Amino acid sequence: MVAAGGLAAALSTAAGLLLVISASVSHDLIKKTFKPNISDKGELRAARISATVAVIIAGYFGINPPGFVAAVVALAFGLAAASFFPAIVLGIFYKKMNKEGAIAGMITGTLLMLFYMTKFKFDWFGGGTSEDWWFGISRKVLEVSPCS
Amino acid sequence: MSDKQKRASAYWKENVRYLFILLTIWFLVSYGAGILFKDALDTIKVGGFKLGFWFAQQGSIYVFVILIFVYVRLMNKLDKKYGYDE
Amino acid sequence: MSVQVWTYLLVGITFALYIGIAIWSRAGSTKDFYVAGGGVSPLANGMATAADWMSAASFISMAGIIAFAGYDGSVYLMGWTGGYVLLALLLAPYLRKFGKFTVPDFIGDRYYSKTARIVAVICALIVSFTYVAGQMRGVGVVFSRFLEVDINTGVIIGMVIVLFYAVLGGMKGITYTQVAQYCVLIFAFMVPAIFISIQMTGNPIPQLGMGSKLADGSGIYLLDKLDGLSTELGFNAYTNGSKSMADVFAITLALMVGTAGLPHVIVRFFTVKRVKDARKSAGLALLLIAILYTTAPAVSVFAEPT
Repeated sequence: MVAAGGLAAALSTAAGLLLVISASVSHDLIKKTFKPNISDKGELRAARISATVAVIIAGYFGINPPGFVAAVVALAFGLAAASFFPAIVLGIFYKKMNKEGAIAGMITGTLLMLFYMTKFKFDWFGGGTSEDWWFGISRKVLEVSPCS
Repeated sequence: MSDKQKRASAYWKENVRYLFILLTIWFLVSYGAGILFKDALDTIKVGGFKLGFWFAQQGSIYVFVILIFVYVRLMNKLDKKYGYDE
Repeated sequence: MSVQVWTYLLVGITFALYIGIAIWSRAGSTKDFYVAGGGVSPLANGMATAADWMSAASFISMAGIIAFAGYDGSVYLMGWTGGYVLLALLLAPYLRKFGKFTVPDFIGDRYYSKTARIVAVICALIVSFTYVAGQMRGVGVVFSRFLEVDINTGVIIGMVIVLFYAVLGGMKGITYTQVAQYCVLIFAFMVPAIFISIQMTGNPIPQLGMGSKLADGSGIYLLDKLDGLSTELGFNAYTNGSKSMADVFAITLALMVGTAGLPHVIVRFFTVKRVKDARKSAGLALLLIAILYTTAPAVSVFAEPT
């Protein structure tokens, strides 16, 4: 029973994420950016193909994981916090918020996060303990907000 | 400002006021009771729970759920009041 | 029948159910594929969001992490639920009002910028791939631990199942399989939790059992006993933890904001009909998540003294 529950939890989340990937590719890249006159049917096919490709890539990472489950999930959180949250909330509540700010915010947020991650996780840049690392995440959130 | 715009900005103002109040409570139960004032609250015991610890692992979550439902009710009323009810 | 056979049987039935749902809810248009046609009821969306949100980590390792970390584990409990308040109050209704299909879609249209859209796509891809890799690994871990299958074979089985219903059904298939998955996972979590609560404290509600006296007749509160045990062993008391206040504060904040920014949770709110429904389903989602999240710390406490 625990096995069925664990699988339900993992599969449901994986499916939701795969949809985000395929929709971003087929809708935002193909339809809205590169090929605006694509038909609904063509877009649907593109969405299905990108979902398939995404599953295969995800499976590859699942077999050759970049870290253990918890660390990878923590990374995704940091990235989400740093890139999307400020851009969306400020987009809703702050009229003067502009595209330069949003783009800069998302990029710096993501890069800072990746920097902290590699710095403290893999010790590429030397120094740092896990305590500092957690602080890294939150400091980055604060740093991103004003610049976006 | 036209009448419609006035109505929209009044609606928005009330909306933001609700958000401010609800998020203050959100902050108080989690960061306040669960973290900043945890030690003080821990001197109070309810059943087997120290109160600060209870807020951190149970209470704050219950309050979160209640907050969202209060928000749902408030906003539904507000929508009706300003005629934005779909 | 042995436990092994039962496990196979149960997992097989649930998989068959997911595939059945996928065939029944095939997507016919892009709107079906991206937002399930935009007509999902608030309750179904709440259940789907809850399942979507609760990952392999929530289900498999959360109680264990809290049992290990004690009060420090609260950061996950508060962080991962408190983020929903931000999501419900600051994001979900407005995004629904904007009426888009994806998060980059919102960002691109709000800022009238193709560059912003593409940057958002890249962010979404990075977030999703790191997260989904963890989930696939989780599938493999469950398979290898409970079904004695090689971990890589497990990952591949998981891939095939997800491929089937995500590609065929799109958001529509995913929504209704997630509803089923929520039922499966909450049942699988609560039944053992209730049993162990009765066993330890005589109280069938784990949330209350956590603060009760031990059922062995000693008249000692469970949490007091735990604090005593951990201080005896030279650790900080279970209910106090060892992280500094600033640390706990910062981690909780990062997790909350992270939760509210997860693109796969945000898109769920594009699938309901009205703004009103988006608000309501956010509330229902948190309620359904809270059932597991308030039980988990109780399970951790029950697991500790034994």
